[in-house]
Amino acid sequence: MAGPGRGGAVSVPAETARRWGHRTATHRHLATLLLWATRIAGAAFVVDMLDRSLRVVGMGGAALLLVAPPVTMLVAAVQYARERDWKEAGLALLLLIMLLVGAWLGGA
Amino acid sequence: MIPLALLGLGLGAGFVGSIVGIGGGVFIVPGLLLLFGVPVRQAVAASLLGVVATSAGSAAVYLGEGRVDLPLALRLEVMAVAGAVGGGLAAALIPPHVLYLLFSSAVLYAAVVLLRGRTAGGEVARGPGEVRHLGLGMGASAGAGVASGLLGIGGGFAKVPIMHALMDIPLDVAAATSTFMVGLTASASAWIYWVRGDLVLAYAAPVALGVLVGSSVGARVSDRVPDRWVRYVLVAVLLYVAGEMTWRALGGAAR
Repeated sequence: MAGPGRGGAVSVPAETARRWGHRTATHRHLATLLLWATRIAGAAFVVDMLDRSLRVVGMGGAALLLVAPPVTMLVAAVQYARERDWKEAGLALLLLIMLLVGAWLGGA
Repeated sequence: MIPLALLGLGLGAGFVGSIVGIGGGVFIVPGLLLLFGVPVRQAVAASLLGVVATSAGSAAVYLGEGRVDLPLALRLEVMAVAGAVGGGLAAALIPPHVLYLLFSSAVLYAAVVLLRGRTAGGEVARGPGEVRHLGLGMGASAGAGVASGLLGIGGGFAKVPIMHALMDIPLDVAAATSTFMVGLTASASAWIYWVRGDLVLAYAAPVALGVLVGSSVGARVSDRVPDRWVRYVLVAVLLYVAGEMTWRALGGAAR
C-alpha cells in the first residue's frame, strides 16, 4: 500500500479513503435519502424547464432539495439513538436545532 | 438557449465542486452576475440552491462509499454554525475592511500550506481514530463560521484546508466530508432567500439541474482524479477568494 508522503505530496490510495467511514447503517440511510431526493428534485427541474406553466412542480423539487439536508440530521439522530450512541445522536439533534433556529432568525 | 447555458454553468460548478469539496457558489454567483446579468440577491439564492444540489448529489455517492466521516462532520459543523451565529451578531462591532484583510490573510496561508503539500503532523491519518488536533480543528471551524457570519460567505473552501492541513485527514476524505457539510449550512441560508421571494426558478432550476448531474458525475470519477489536481484547483479557488477579499478591503466593495 502506498503510504503518506509519496511523490513529495501527501497521498493515499482510494482503498484507504473507502475504509475511512466504514459505511455504517447511518451512512447507508443518509445516502439513500439524498439519492432519492436528488432524483425526484432533478425530475421536477426537468419538468419545470420543459413547461413553465408547471412551475409548482419545480418549486416542489426545490423545496424537497432544501429540506433534504436537515432531514439527514434527523435521520442521523434517530439512527444513532437506535444504536444507543447518545453523544452522536445529541450532536445531530443539536445541529438540526441550530440550523432550524438560524433559518427562522434569518427569515424573521 | 439561456436555460441550456445556465445548465452548463451548473454542470461545471457541480463537477468541480464535488471533487474539490466546495459547494460551487464561488463559480455560480460570478457566473450568474457577469454572464447572465442576474440581480445579486437572485444570483445568491440560485447559488445556494446549487450548493445544496452539489452537496446532496455528491454526498449521496460519498456516503454510499463510506468516505464521509460523519462524527467529524457533526463536530465541525456544530462549531461552524455556532461561529456563524456569533459572527452575525458581532458583525456590527468590527470594521469590515479589517475583517476582509484578516480573512484574506488566513485564506492565503491555507493556500500556501496546501500548495506545499504538508499537513500539520507531516503525514495523513489512516482512519477515523487517527484524526489529529480535533480541538484545534473545531476551533478553526468556529473561526471559519465566524468569518462566514461576518462576511456573508459560504465557507466550504475553508473546511477542506482545515481538515487536511490542520487535522491530517486525507484530501479526498476531507473533500467528501466537506461536501456533505456545506449542504447543511447552505440549506438553512437558502430558506431565508426563499421566504424573501428571491429564489427565481427561471435561473435556479437549470443551474440546480446542471449541478445535480455535474456533482453526481464528479463524485463518481473523483477516485480517479489525482490528489495534486484537487490541490491545485483548491489553491486557485483560495487565491481567487483571497484576492476578492483584499480588493474589498481596499475599497472595492464601495463601488
